[in-house]
Amino acid sequence: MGLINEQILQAKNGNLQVRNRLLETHQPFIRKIACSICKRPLNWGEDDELSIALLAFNEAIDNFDFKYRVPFLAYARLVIKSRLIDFFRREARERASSLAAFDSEAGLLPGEEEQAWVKFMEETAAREREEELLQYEEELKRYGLELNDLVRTSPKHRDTRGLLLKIARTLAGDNELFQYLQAYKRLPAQALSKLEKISRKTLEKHRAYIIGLALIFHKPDEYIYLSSYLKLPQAPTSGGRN
Amino acid sequence: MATIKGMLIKKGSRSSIILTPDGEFKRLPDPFPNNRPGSEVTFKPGPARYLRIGTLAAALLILLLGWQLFRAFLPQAAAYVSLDFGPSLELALNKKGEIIKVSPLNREGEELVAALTLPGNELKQGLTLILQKGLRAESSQPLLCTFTPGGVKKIPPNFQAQVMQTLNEVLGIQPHPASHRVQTVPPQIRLEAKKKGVSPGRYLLRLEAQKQGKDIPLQVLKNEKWSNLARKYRNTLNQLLLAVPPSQPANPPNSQSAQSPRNHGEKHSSSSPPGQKKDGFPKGKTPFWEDLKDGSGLGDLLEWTLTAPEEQIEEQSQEEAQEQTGNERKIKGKIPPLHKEIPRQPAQGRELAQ
Repeated sequence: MGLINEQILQAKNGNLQVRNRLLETHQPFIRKIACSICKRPLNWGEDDELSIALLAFNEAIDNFDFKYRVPFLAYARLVIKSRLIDFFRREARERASSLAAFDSEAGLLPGEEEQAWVKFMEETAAREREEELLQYEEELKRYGLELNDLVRTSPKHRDTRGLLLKIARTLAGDNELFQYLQAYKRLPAQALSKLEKISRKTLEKHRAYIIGLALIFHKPDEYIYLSSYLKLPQAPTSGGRN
Repeated sequence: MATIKGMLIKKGSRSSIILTPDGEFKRLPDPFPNNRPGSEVTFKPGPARYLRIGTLAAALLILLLGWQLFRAFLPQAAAYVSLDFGPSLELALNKKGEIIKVSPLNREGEELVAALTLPGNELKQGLTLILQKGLRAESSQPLLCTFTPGGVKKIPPNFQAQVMQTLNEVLGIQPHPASHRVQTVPPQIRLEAKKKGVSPGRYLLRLEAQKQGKDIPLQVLKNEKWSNLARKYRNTLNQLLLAVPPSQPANPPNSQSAQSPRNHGEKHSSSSPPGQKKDGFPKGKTPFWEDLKDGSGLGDLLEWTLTAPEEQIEEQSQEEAQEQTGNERKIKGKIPPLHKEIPRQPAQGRELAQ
């Protein structure tokens, strides 16, 4: 079980401190989701949508069930969307007709059958996963990479893989190094070599793999399914440093 | 074999890419047609590469062993006898002297073999059938027969002598061609001939020609009819038919046939089987040309043929080519005919030979 799942479990069991920490650390995520739904920038303390999204995230902590077989963040994103849609429907009835279908299946309304909700969740999650993978493939292309390159450079040995995952995490967590990667589409091999005490040759050999994983680690909010699927030691969220 | 689990990242027509929970991107030989990208899939790998190679090697080994066993139970050839008298064919004999396989070596041989059921017959019987069917009444081409020991180690004593005796016996009885000879051929020569796609007899002819500084092109050797070859290389063939093997003294004492080319029908082997004279004819039997010396002049004609100087034979050969000119009778009147023109044995001669 990942660290976030443990925290959710503790928060559900009444640990307020953990709950507050979860809410606090995921504020950038909440804001990002809300902005993407509202299609405009939102600011804390100014826009009601952010408050509604925060409440929805809190509600997601309470209602999250591991049987849904989706990552918590994916579930939370769905709840935030639902709550904001409810808000929009209340605010503007004319928009509600176009969103009725989505809303009717949101499943968080009292009285909705759980089975229908689970089915809806699964369908939505499947669609989101596909979209996420397409997005990931597109982003790789911007670095001149393809999924085949990741297969080719993926280390077979577990220890090597562990070492490269650690390097990818370092690259994703260090803004300066990641900016270098984004700007030049090149691995900051020299800096990483010094930081992780690893030969440049190894870094160059597994360049595609390191970049591919660093993109996932750097944007866990965008690649919710990918990042949650990797059973890795939880790293500090890097989303806030963007 | 451990099952691989991972998130389906990309589907292909024949394979797919997955991401395992421990961070490995893998290509799997399964397109997962019923799964959507992003879903978790499980894959049970087939046999590992080394296992497949091992299976293949084991299968090959089994096949090889099976083949060896099969060969071990196959009847082994104790000797090979080839015949060239128009049709060319080769008989494989087992150590009992039975025909176990017949291989045609030219088209005429194929036709002959197709018309007969030879495997299972004894050599004598089979050979008689072959000659009865294959020899045309008007045929007067020389017959070259080769004997090659086979690969069987434990063969009865005197096997070769018995086979040779049978060959000479049958060839002596049959309305045989103008001349015949049984020549022992080493297995290497037989194999070389086989490689070149010709009968051992034809190959011997080529070797004999080479000894004489002539060359018979392989294509000619392969494709030319035996009658044409016999006509074109008459002298060479005569040499071959008359050749005294190195193991046999050129002029054995008390052997008239060895001194004279009349022994063209004798067997080659130096070890005559019991009950057979050195000249290859069974006791009490005389070479057919001896019987021809009955005043008909045929015996003398044959003797001349076999002793005629090369130039004269060559000359006759050229003159033969002018048969169309109409002076055939004249020429034939002057020069005695060669083998092919020797008339069939008179009944009297055959009976005596038998």
